[in-house]
Order: sequence, then C-alpha cells, then structure tokens
Amino acid sequence: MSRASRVLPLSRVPIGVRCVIASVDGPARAELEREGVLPGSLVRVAARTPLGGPVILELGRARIAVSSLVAAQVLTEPSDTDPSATAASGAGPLNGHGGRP
Amino acid sequence: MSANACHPAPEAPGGLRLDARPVVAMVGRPNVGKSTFLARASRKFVETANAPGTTVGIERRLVTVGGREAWLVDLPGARSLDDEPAGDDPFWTLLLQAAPDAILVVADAGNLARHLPIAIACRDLGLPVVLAANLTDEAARRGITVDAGRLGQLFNAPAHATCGRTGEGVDVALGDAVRLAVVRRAVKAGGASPRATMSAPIYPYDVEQRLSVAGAALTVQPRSLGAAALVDPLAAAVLDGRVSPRGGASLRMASSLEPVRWAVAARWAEQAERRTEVAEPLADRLARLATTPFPGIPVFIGISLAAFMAVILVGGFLASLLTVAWGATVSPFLTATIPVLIPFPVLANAALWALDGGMLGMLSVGIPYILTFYLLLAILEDSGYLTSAAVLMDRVFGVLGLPGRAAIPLLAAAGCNVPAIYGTRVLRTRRERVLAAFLVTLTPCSARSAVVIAALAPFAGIPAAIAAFAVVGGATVVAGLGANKLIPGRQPSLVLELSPLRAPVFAHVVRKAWYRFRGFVVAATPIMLLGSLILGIVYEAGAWQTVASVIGPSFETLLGLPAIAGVALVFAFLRKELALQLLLVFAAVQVGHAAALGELMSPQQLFVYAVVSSISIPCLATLAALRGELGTRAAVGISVGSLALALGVGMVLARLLGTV
Repeated sequence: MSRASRVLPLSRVPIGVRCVIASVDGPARAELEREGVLPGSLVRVAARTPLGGPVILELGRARIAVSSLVAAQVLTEPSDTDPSATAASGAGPLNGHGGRP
Repeated sequence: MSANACHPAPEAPGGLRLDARPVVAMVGRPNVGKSTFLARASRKFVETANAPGTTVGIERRLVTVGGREAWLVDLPGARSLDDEPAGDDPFWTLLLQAAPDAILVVADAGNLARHLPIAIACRDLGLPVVLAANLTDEAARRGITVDAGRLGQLFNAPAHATCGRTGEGVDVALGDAVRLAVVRRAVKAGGASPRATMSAPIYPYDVEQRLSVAGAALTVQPRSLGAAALVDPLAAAVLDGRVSPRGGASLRMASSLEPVRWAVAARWAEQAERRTEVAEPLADRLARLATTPFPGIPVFIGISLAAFMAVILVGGFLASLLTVAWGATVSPFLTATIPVLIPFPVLANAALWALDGGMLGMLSVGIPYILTFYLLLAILEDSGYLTSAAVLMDRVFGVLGLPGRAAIPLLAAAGCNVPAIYGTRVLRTRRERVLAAFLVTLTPCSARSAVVIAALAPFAGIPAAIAAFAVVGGATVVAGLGANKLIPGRQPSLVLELSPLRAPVFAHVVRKAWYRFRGFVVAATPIMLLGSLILGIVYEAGAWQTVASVIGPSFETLLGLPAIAGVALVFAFLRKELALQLLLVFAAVQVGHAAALGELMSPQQLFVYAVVSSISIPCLATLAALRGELGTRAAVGISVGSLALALGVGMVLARLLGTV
C-alpha cells in the first residue's frame, strides 16, 4: 500500500492507535501548534467523548482534547509503535532535520 | 520594609513601572505552578510591595535577593510568545511592556519536551534566561528526574530543578535571575560587555540566516522610515534595547520557528531527563477516568450538583444568619439614629432604604453566596478538574456557542447570578463571556425561583409553578441560540490541554477567592447604595403612583396585568424577592387584607407575572457585576435583551392564556 493512501484524518484514527501528524490545516492551526500538535509529532488517540465530542490525544505525557471538527482537519500517517522506526522514516522536523549547534 | 514601598515609581509611558531596579519576568505555560512558585519566592524574600499592574492586570513584587532588589513580574500563563492569554494582545507585547532584564522560565520537570519551546523562544529574545524545571515532586511520582546540569549546558543558561510546594531550588533560581538582571542593567548602562547577553545559535543554518536577515531589517527600519518605528512595536523594542535584533526577528518569524523549537526541545528533553519505570500515579489514572462517559459523566453530574447544593444550602444558611444578625443589631441602630440625623422623614426613610436595605442586600448576597461559590470555583480550578468538565460538556454547550467550561457558571447561576457572572472568567474570549453572562442573567436564581414558587404554588397550583420554570428554561435556550447567531464571531473549536489532577493549595484557594470577592464588593457597593437610595426616594415620596400611571397602561394592554404589578417589577430591580413582597403589600393596600393576591390577580395573570419577573432585567447586584466584568455596554445590552425577552414571552403568554 502506498504511503499517501494510508493518510487518515485524526477524526477517523481508531482509539488506541499511534500516528504521526502529517499536516495541520484550518483556523485552529496556531492553537494546535501551541499544544505541540505539529507535523512530525507522534500522538496516540486515547479516547473519544460521547455524542461526537472532542477527541483526546496523548502527546508525550500530555493529554490534549481536540474537537472533532478540528480533528478532521489534521491529517495523520500511521506510525510503528517503536519511535526509532518512525525516526528512520524521515518525516517532519522531529526526525532530525534540525541541525546541532 | 524599604522606604520605597510607600512611594511607587512613576509609570513608564506605554509600559510598566521602570526605575533603577532591574525587572525579572516569570514566563511559563499555564498550570506549571507559577503562582505557587511566586508565593514561595516572595515569602522567602522580603516582600515590600505587591501592586497589581494597572494597565494589564500583571502582578509584580519587589524582592530582595542577596542584597539586590528587583521587580518580579508575574505574567499570565502562555503556551508560546504569540499566544493570546488575555484574549487580544499577543503575549510578547505583555512581556515587552514589562521590559524585563532577565526572564525566569518556569517549566514542568515531568514534561520538558512540552515546556522547553517557550523557554527557547525566550532565549531567542537575547535576554538572560534562567530555567526552573518545576514540579519536581510530580515528576518524581512519574519516575522522572531532571539533570539540571545537562539542561543548563544545552541551554547555555542557568537551570535548576525546583519545587514550588516545598521550596526546593526556588531561591537559587530566583537569585540567578536577579543576578543576571543586574548584570544586564549594567550592560545597558554601558558598564559591561553586551556579548554577555548574546545567545548562541541553536537552529539549522538556513533558519539562523533568515533570523539574522530579519534582525538586520529591524535595525535599519527606524533610520529609513522614521516615524514607522513608532508604529512598529517590534522595531521600537529593538531600538530601545528591550530585545536584541535577533530577538525581534524571532518574534516576527514566530510561526515558522515554532516547529523547529519543538524539535530542539524534544532533543534536549531526551538528553536532560532520567527516567525509571514506575506505576502510573493515582492522580493520572483518575484524570483519565474523568473524561470517560462512565464514570466521567456521573462524576461530573455529582460534582455539579454538590457545588450547586453547597451554594444554595451554605449560602442560604449564611444569608439567613446574616439577615437575623443584621435585623437584631445594625437595623435597629440605623432606624433609631437616621431619623435623628436627617430631620426630613422622606429623606430619612430613603436613606434607610440605602443603608439598611441596600447594605443588607449586598451583604446577604455577597458574603454567603459569592464567597462560597468563589471558594468552590477556586478549588475546582486548582484541582485541575475544570478542564475535564469542559471537555465532557463541550458538545452540549457548543450548540449555544459556549465551550464546555461554561457549565460551571451556569449551574452556579441557579443559586445566585452574581458569582456566576464572575465565574464567567473561566471562559477565554469576550464573546463567550458575554454569551454566558446573558444566559446567566436569564437563569432563575434562588430568589427568583422563590418568587415563582411562592406566587404560583398557593394561587395557581404546583403544576403551574413547574410549567413556569419550563417556560423560562425554554426561553433561555431559545434566547441563547438567538444570541449565538446575533453576536458577531464564532465559537472557536476546542483545543485544550487537560490539566493533571492535583490537590489544591489551601492558601492559594483562599487568596484567589478573597481577591475576587474584593472585586465584587468594590464594584457593587456604590451601585447598590445609590440604586436603593433612588428607589427609596421614589417610594417614600409616593412617586410610585406616578410610576404606576406611566408604565401601568402599557402593562395592562401588553401583558394584561394590573399597573401595580408593573411597579413591583420595577422595584424588584433592587432585590428580586421584592417582586413578590411588594406585590403582596400593594395588594393588601388595594384590596384591604393581607392574603389578597389571589383576589387582585387571576392565576393566569400570576403565571404571566411570575415568568416576566423571572426573565426581566437582572437585579441591581447582578447589573453591578455585569458592568464591572464586561463593561457598561455589555451590561446595558444584556439588560435590554432580557427585558425584551421578558416582554416578548409575557405578551405571547398573555395572549395564549387570555389575560388580554
């Protein structure tokens, strides 16, 4: 399966699955950025609240609630649970394109 | 105590206090324990002044460390330098207004990767930075310790492991910040080399290059464009040395730098953290459960009901206690002395309305309901539960254009509207606050509920009372939907970090509640006194009959109610209980005996009256709170809105029930 076809909006990622943020769009972009939800960050969809309420993400040790409207505008790529494997795939700034001083 | 405490230095134009003493600004993400840190820091060191900033509500304290005096400025929690914690202005404008000589960044030791980006952003400003890896106690429970030495190396700045609760490392961190601030003052005065405050490049080559180009542009701009420098706050800040050119450029490029900062932060955190495997702490497990449908929702309902009952029961008990005490002590004294002091009976009685009735009204609302609610709210806020409740209720309140956290003030409103208005401070934007305040004023408080029950249950039956509440509730929801459409703007979608659960710090809770309570007393007292005095004069001078003749006819034609019912409604503006008490008095005057209300008005008329009095204009204390919190325009707008809604609903009911 090609990588592009495995891109899923965050709102459709199953509970408990880890994924890497591929792109963030829409008016909530800046808010998401402040919470560390940026391209390249590794998140886990921890829970969904009832009645189409917010999605709860785990990002490191933080838990972030994101309304389902916002979650639909965040695209994700699958990630292997092993973080080092993700680093090797070379997507996004978390995977070492930032140089050392 | 230094002599300076009594003589505040003059305000700098467009900024905070500037004097010979250096300024240390405290920066950190929300919920990182900055307030506890500050309390610890200022208890440790001699606190000689504590003046809230006039322009931006920033708190600053004079601290003395090792014989050096410095201003410690506490800034609101921010997640990045271009965050908007107060609603409109980006955080960096607050920071530059404070004109800090050094920045003390408070970070969560248990989650450095998340807290270092703003620290890196501060470091980019070209100001001396000290890093406090705070909350080490919570981090330790999660099996994380911070290698402060390694962190300092990476950061090229002093770093300390601190714990605000125990005081660990707090004085050392603050001491370092003050020391660096003093040095920077010397640099600005020309006494030291400016190299001392330059930060080493940490970003990839291309990013650093863009930063230096943008920085150079900021320094050139004033000379070539002249007046433009006055318009551009960044260029002005660079010009007067509050930030370095690179710092100014980093603020301009903030959004493109942010991903790079998070990447650097992740790397540094990896190197500075030492982890051991431990079982998940109980607080974290509870926090996880708090947002689940079960037991999250039952727990939310339980906590809400408990808070609601506490306000009603504790508040009601204290209020009656206070009323009895007042009636036994102050009231007889006033009744005896004021007629002696003021020889004109009408004026004397009017003064009694203000000093006796008005003051009692204020106290019996203020102390019992408001203090009780503030204490509860502060506990809920400090425990971190409020964010869980907000997430659970987000979908439900989203329909009304409100975020989930609006649930708390709206529930409190059923006890008393006034604390609920102040409770809207938990909301982030002004739009949310205005919308929530409007719904709060429509929610029947315990006094209004009492009027509805006492006017309807004996004369029209209990089902009528229940139906009246249903009509009021329905009107509130419809009005909320309408207001959401009418008020410009849109409810921003939820993006919210869930706070970890922690035990609230008692002193902190009390201080917060007291601070807010003082705000209510200052805002409401003059309005309550003046309002009662005016109503007292109108009543005592017999002018209420004029009021009846003015508003009576329209009341009769529109709502089918007797003119004196309109007068009672006008006076209920002072205290909602008067809507029934005065009506009974007027009925007795007109019909001749006390239980005359049923003869004066039909059950249908009473129903219309109960609904209209419940929805119409908030009481004086609520209006004072609205004005103090949201400004005169919003207060007037909300009052007009609720009056229009009351009349509209009343007219429809009058036609349906055949009273006109």
